Amino acid sequence: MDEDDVSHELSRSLGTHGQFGREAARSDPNAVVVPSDEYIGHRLLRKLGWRYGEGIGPKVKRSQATAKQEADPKPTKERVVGCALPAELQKQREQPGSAEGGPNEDSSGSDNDADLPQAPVDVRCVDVLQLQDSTCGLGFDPLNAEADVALAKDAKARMSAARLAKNKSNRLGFGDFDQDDGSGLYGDGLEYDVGLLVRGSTDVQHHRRRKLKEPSQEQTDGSLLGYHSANQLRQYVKPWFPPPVVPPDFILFHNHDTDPLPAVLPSLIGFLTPKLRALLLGGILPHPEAPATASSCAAPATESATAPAPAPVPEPQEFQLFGPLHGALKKRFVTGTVQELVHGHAFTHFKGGLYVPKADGEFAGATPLTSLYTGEPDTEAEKAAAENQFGALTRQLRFFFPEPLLCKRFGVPDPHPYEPTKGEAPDVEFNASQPPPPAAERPKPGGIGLTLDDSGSDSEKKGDDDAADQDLPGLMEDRPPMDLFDAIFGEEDEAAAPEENTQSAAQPISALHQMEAEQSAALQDTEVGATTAHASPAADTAPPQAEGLSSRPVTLEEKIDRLKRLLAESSTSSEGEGGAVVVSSGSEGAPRHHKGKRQGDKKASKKAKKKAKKKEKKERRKRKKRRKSRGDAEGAPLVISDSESGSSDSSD
Amino acid sequence: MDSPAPCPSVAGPVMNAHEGGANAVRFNTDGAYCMTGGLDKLCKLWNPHNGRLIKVYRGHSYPVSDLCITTDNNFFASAGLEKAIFLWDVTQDSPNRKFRGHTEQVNCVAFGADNSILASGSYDGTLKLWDLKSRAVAPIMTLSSFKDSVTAVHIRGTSIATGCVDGYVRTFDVRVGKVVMECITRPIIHVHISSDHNCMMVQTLDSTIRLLDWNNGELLNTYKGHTNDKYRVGACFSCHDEWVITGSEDAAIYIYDVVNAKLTAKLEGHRGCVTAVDHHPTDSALVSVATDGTLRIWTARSSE
Repeated sequence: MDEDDVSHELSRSLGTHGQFGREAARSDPNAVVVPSDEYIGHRLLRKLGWRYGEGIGPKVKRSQATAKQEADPKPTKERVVGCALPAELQKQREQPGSAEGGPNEDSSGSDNDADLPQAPVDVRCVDVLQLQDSTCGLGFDPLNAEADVALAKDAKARMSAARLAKNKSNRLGFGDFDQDDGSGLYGDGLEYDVGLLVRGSTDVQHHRRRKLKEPSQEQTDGSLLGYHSANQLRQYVKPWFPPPVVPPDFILFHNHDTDPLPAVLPSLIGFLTPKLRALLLGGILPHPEAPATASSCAAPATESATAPAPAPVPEPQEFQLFGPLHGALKKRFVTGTVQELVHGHAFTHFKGGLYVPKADGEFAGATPLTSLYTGEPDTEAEKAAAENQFGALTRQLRFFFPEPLLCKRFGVPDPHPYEPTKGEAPDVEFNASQPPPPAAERPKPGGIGLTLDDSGSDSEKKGDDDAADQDLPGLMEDRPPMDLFDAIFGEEDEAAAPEENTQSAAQPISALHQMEAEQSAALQDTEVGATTAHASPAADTAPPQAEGLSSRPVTLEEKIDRLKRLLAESSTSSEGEGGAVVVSSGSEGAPRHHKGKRQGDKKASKKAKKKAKKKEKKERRKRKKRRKSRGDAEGAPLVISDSESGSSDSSD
Repeated sequence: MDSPAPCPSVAGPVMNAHEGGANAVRFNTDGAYCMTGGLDKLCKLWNPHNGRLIKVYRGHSYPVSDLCITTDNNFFASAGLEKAIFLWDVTQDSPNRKFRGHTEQVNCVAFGADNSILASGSYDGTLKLWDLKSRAVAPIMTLSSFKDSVTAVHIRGTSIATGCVDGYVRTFDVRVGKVVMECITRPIIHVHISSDHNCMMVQTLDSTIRLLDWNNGELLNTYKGHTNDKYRVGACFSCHDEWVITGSEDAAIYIYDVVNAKLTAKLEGHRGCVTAVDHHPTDSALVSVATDGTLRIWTARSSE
């Protein structure tokens, strides 16, 4: 609370921010730094020779100053820093009889020491910083208001001013009730309405009470030239002219003169300096160190020399804008294009190994900038064109992969349906017979890097075609065969729902292949015999090829053979290869009739699988009989689901 | 004239079309109306036969650089310097659709594929193909293998021919999936495929028009005589491909015979660089606009 009180007290007395801070800081025990007391302005002035208490300005004769000071408490005659009163008021303030002394006037006076020029008297500070509760104007001191009262020529105003002056206390509203006319709480308000002082009229105008006077009676050549009293303005009438008479056959049309320039094609205007445009568009500069060639380019490129186009072609200025880019600085800055410039040559794609710059300086881009920009034909095509040998030499073919929607709109089938990414391949030579090379081998084209990227429609990098081809079998090989699922779930419910076929088979682990090879002979089921015999030649061929993942698409037959082998080994041996390998007796290596196709006929395979299931069940029953007969407590790598073999499982 | 179809040579009505110059003029499919686009950001529909203005289309905030009309005369597209293309319904006052995507001013537009595709070439070096049947905001494709501003596009059948300031004519064949690039080495401002798909006219900034064989790119003919160094002037074939008509910077229209490349007629009357010309689809008539803002009709002598 103390702090609040203190701050409240402080706020009551207005002070500068510095004062406030100082007070607060002094009272604050934690304050490390207390703002200094001194004003910076004072400090500076003191260094310039001022002393506290003096005024600022040229030196005056002290005798004059003091004399006037005594006579008039207000030292207004000297020239002071700040604004001076208008001449009239200045005169009024001066005491009659005193000399109109400027500060610099020499008065023939005594040789009194007091006549030596001394610093002027300091300005009287208006006590702005004291909180004023009154409604008087700033600086109005009712106690010393005689002079201001004298200003008011109007008797009434004088009275009210005197009344205010009488009122010693500055509080608002005090003494307001003892008004004689009693027309308002705070008086008429009229004492505050002081109009412009107008010479020639003895009265201060009160715009509320003033009667409207004829304009002729009022003269406006008062002290404020050019200003009229508001009463007069009502009489001012603007001159009004009737609209012009339009002839009946007039058609409004503005004839623009000459200069076909305006905006026919600003691009072509800009073309006049193709080097500039290449720069502007961020294209490749053919000669990075040759600013001089710009002019040589411009000359052959345009047949008409510049001149009839005056203003709208600001090439010289534009060119100078880009001046610093040439020469030494050019190499330090990279343009915003995709293509990098290494040693001034285009560096389009990365090959491992030692970088060998191209010897001829040609770009690996699709179409190098034509002779437009270089001034000379560079490529064969350009040379041929320059000689007017149009035809095979000037013609180049490139691949173009239109979007499917575009083809649909044009009503044509997609010419490159196997191309995953559509767009352009500006660097690849079009060959009608061969398919386009995969994207990885295509060089990156150089284009203007100004376009917005449309998603997917114009990507320069394409997917890998080969990978796409290999995707499908890879996928299929990862997924275990349906027989596996049959084995797991088949026994539980005989009427198993027909599964969706997959033509995939599990890719056996290499270890299993060895096992298969070893135990393929062990598989001797009567039922299976025939099929195994059939399958074994296939099985023989399969293992040498199937080393881990196959390098070529795996046929179904081979997969089935593998499964068979796995089954055989699982049934005969007690080696737990893990359920993952468990497979039903693929003996129903019902030789699938579709050969060689990765995606065989689904229906056929479904039927085959159903057959396979039945056979498989028979197979299992026989196996169980065998087990029982042998008394083997063999583990069922045959996972679970075998309710009958559950005991055997547990025994494992 | 000594040719079966008379060459348009008689000046017809002159209309003050645009203030400040006009940039594009097109006949519609049957030639009953023509449209102009000008520097005053307006597109206007005219009846050229009696010279009456039918409709004004306000919507652009920048000058119009090119126009094209669909073959069913229901829509037209106007390309502006404000990097957008407006698709208008001919009967409506405000644009139907706005295609935004270009980063610089759009130079040329063309309809294709039975009015389902709109191609637009721009100063930013791309050609964008917009789908008109769906309401997609993005273009179907953006072709950006251009090295410079794309100034001309013309679609005929399944081929999109484009002209670029870098001096190459690129023809995108959608059916085959290839791009045919012809090197001309001069900035190209106009490309037009003839109606029999045999040849292609290429107008370049060296005051020359070249006629190239469409199949093997050989030069068939060269037309010189007009002045064309700086600005885009218009060029077109006549309706039966017997004349090559081009504007010129010397305010005249030059008509060349396609076969023997001789100047058949030089039509004078404009007071500024002729910026666009178009030939009537069936009759022997011509419209042209110039930087003086007038639209002039030229017809053939009726007696011959």
